[in-house]
Amino acid sequence: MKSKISYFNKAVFKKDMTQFWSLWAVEIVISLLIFIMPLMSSVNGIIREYTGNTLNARSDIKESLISFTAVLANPVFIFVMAIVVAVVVFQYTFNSREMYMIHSLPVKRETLFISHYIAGVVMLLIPYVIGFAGYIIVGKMYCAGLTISMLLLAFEVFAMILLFYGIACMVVMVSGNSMMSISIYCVLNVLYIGFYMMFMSVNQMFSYAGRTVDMENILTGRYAWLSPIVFLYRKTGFKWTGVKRWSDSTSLKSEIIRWSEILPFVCAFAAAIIIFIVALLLYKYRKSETVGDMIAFSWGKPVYRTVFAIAGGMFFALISWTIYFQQGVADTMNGEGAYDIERLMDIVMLMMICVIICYFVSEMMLKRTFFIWKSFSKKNFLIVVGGMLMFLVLEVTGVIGIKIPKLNNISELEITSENNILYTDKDDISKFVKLNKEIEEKRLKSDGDSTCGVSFCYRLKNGTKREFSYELPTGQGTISDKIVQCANRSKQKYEAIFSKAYKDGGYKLQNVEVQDCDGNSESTTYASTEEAREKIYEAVLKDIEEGNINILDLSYQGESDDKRLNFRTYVNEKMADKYKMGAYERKSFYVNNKNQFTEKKMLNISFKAKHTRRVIEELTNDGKLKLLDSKEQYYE
Amino acid sequence: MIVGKDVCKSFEGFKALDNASFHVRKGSVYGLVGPNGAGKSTLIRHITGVFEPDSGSINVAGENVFENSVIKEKIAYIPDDIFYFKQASLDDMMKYYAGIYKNFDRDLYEKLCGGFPALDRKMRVRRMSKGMQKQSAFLLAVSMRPEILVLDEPVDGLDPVMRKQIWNILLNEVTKYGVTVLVSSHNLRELEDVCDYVGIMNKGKVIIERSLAELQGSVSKIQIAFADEVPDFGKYVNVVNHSVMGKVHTLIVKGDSETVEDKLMGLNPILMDLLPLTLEEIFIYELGGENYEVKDILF
Repeated sequence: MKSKISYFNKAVFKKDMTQFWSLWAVEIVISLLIFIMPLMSSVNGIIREYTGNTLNARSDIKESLISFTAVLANPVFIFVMAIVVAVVVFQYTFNSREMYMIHSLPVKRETLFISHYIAGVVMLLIPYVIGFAGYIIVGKMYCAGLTISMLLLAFEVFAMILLFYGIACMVVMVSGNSMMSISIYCVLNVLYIGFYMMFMSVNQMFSYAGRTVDMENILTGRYAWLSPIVFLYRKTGFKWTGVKRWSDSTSLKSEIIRWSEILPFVCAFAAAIIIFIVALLLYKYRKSETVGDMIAFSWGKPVYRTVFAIAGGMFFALISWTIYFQQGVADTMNGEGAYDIERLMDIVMLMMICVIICYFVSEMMLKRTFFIWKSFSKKNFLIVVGGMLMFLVLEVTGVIGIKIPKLNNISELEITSENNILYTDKDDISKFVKLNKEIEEKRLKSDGDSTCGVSFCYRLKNGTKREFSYELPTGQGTISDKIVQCANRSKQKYEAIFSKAYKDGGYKLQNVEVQDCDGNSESTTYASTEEAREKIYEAVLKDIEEGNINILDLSYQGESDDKRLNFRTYVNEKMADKYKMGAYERKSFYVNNKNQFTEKKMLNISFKAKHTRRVIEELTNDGKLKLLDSKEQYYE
Repeated sequence: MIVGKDVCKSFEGFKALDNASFHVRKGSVYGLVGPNGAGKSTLIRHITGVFEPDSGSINVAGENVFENSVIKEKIAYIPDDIFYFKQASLDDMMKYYAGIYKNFDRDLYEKLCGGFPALDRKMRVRRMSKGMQKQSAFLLAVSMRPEILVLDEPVDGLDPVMRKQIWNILLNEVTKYGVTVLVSSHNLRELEDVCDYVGIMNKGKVIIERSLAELQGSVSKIQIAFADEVPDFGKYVNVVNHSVMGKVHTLIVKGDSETVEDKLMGLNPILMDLLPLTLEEIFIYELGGENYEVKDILF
């Protein structure tokens, strides 16, 4: 009965497997219901459809198998089951009688932990063993080229199991209470992203600039892996490397495992091993008398208190404000096109009140009593609340917060309003930076209804992005007018419309659409010949030269007969390299049906653009502007 | 066998053990007595390796017991509030312990079960009565073939018949196999029939530790009466306590009982009787002058 391996105790392992048989019995049922039966039903349906001709049905069965493997490899199920299993196998750490009994046994803590851990891993693997077995059988029966892909998929699933289960075990070791363990586990898995979003929201609150919380930036950023469930869900989902490669697989070559495919999961494995060691050490040094405590380690209590008070306070303040005012804080601040400084103190006070309340709630939770007044530490309270107050003061005074980046760090600047213009020229960028700073300093207030939206999006050399959005007053002499004039005088004004390659001999204006500004797409026409395109091009150049057209239209409120021109320019990779087009520029290119990069730019034409209006009228009369028909191939 | 030296333990500022020192000799039955909250269970958990002391040491067979699986193999522990796995029967628990304790004796287990025919081995232990649960705990503990039995209020809540049965098993183990027994209780009267040594705990300290044989041999309770003049007893024997009811004098005397008896007979009393002393009385008089409110402690 005694295992020869000193770090594994068979009796402990067997006890877990027999005592918690209902857990893995439920898992078996779930695996049958979610993994196997839908697949079998789909396969049977396909075979019936092909009236039993499995040879012809193979392609459809393969497609079906691919789509179902996404369910098999969905990290959300693993995420949930991991904490359930960890709480179950280590449940004795929540109960003093059981804990004392177990720890009085002649078994070292390392042995106890490892034996329970292995029992948990086995329980988590059961549904996947059944799932993979079913899929491999179906694959062997109906499809080919399966083995390596399935093994890769199994490896990825195993890595995720170990990672999430390791985190769950670590959390269970830190907390002596099951509900607290589950809460900490869930929060820990989204902490980075949640905290980042809250920080951005708070920062947005104090800045004059509106700033949207860029979810894509957060979710794909360098540290997104700190929120494992979110990171892995995006990494896997329907883009499983194992599945993707299989769906592309047409030859033996695809059976070679590429390092880049499995790297995220090798990292997950490595992280899982580290987390396992941390959890083991936590269990080894955890005191038995902490059973039932919300946080079992004395060093964890101030951390918990601080995080709960500050994050909880910020969260509840933001939520309360949003519910009460039916809009976000930043929107309330910038409600009428002007920054409402008076409201600022309201939100600061609300935030401080919420932080104080959350501090006391955290104390109550740690001490498991409502009556904490006599025993709570005033020093700790002052540190946490004082720290939060300091943070808010620094935000209000602008000492901290997201600032307009330094010129040396800026790689590209995109100005967005009705249209987007990308600047890479240093002189152009420095002028816009000056204007941006002027907006921030003056915190300009709108006098009337005439406002326009503009945003400055800085892409930095380190790959990050900073965005500042404003609602600005319009009119002559206003800041928005200065921005328009700056755009009209910029070195890149032609590139803004025609791309960098517009002077190049190889430049091709692929398509020009002429649209009514009321957005009526039924009357959209396009220049059907190269000659027509060239005429419009030359006319636009002339109007820009004479200042009849604004490159950047911040306050464009078109008249009924105004036009919009949509230019599509053709730029190949060579030209993109030649003109040192950055990653963002290239990314924004549309790849047409001939695999060519085409860039779309838009330009509003008012009655002032006399040359362009004249040419459009001429071409219309000559029948050179044809109605846009979706069936026509207007890409050459 | 078990030596605790200046053991201290605090829980969130509360001092549960305050320099507690004790010595349990090999093959003896040591009774740990004290009121509720004295620290008995806490001390026992240190001895069984559940808690680690903040300072001081607890050695079993010369080695530190905490996280020492070799030493823990020798110890069988029955807590006051026994834990059994949910859904587990007595046989299930036996299999579990047999997998943990190298010396677990299944034959002995079978034999002991035969001695308790009322115990249903297939029944879930949690469904059994408290008395049967304790019986089950004893069966399992004894089957582990321990060198040390640590019992925390083992007969608390049991009827007299059950208590007798439990004590019989224990004493049998002590006699036959030289097992060392540490038993805690808040009732001194219960322990006086079984213990060789007694330690009294109060407020986290072991305030007194004595051998019962020494104690019982060194203090005597004598009732004596005289026809005429009553002599001055203090000249002849060491009187700790003297009470009078009519002509009958009740003396508590320190010293060897035979010597005391001989000396008092020499005074020609008309009546002299040697009365049994309870352990409680022994402790009260033994501690006389040390200013411990033993009477309060023991009640």
